[in-house]
Amino acid sequence: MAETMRTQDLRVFFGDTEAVKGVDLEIPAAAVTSIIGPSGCGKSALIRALNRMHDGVPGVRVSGRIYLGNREIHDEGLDPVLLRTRVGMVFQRPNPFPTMSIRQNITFAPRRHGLVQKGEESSLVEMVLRRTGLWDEVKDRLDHPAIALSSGQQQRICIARALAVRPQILLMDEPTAALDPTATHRIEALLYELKRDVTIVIVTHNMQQAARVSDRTAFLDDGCLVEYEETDRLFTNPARERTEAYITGRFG
Amino acid sequence: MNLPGGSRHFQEEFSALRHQLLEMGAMAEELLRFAVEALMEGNVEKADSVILADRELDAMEVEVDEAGIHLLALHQPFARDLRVITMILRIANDLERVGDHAVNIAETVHHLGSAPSLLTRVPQLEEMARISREMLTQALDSFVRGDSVVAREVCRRDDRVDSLHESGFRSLLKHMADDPQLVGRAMSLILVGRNLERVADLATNVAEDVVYMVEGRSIKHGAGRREP
Repeated sequence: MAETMRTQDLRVFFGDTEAVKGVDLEIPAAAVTSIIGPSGCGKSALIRALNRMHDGVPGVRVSGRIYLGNREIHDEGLDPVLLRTRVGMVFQRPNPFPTMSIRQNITFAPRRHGLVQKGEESSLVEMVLRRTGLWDEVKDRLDHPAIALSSGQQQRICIARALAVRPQILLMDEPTAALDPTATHRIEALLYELKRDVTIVIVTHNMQQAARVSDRTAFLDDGCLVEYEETDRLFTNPARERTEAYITGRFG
Repeated sequence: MNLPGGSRHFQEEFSALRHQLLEMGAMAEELLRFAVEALMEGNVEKADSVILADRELDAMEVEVDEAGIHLLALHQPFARDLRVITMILRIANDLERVGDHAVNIAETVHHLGSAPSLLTRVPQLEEMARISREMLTQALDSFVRGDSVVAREVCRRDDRVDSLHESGFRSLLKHMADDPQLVGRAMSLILVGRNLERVADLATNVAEDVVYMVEGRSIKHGAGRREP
């Protein structure tokens, strides 16, 4: 089931540099929230904090609070590995496990976390491949290497893999930046289908994409949340001058 | 990254589009002025020149449409750029219709002939013509200056035209009742009144579009019109 996320005074430091400067963001459940902003504004630093991907990275420090539903994700009792099954991530470059087949890519995590019985694996594989629109394309070669697929299909395999552990949140960091327009369109259509069951947060450089796919948009600049609004409003009538300047290309 | 407002290419086409709309505005104002003058003077040649020139206004509207759609499709603008372009498309349509009403007025000159004596007995029409023209000019000025205060003022003036229309209509009915020989000419003037009232409505539409363009909120159908 989709869940809400909320950050409170979230700060991310790379050494002495503060990349995210005290962001309060409320991400609604069962909706697509996009984060836009110029390169280096802290978008990726922010999204990576949401499933504790900065943990253990030398020189990186995260402060502030992040709630998944009502639970603080840094709670001692919460294993970051378990957290990442609740809060999945899809990256810019499709990264299926290179040595594994399509089927193994999908069953690896659920098997490891004991989320699937042996006899149910096939139906899980079919379910997530159907949800990502891949079933008809790959059903006859489930045991072929995932890496042999086209990059658009590989990216959908990565989404299917993330869905296989039934996450509440799906984080996507520029998920279509490396794809052609057709593959991009497929992923965007998929987001629309998925958001009923999974809360989606997407970082994108492409403002048209943010406008097309998201319900709410956050504009981040220099580590600060400048404006956070319904997408429709932000792109037709932004409240802040800085947002206006950025989305109309009159920046800096 | 696609940055419409930042590219010189976009800026050039964008300002060309604004310029095209202003040319349309000037043309629509001229047609209206000529139509009203032709009516007052009973000048058939002047009236015919309006009918001829309206085709040019129609062609200009098609050009604005094409240029506007081109900008939307190729540059996918946002925020104020998006509002300005979409409002330009609407305003162009309104201006084209102002031209049609000018033509309707010009056509009545033929029916009225060169004896517009009845017209002098219905001063409401001349007053309506003056206010409608001023409203159109003011609405176009508010577009150029991006001034929503002036645009709101235009909207408020529409009530005055409506009441003049009402009173002129009654006056013409009375003339018809008093002298059945006047029925044909009075009917023509009722149509003139109707056309002038529509021009004021269209000027109001333009002004409402300017408010949306500047402030990003709609004041159509009376919503929020009285504010600031």
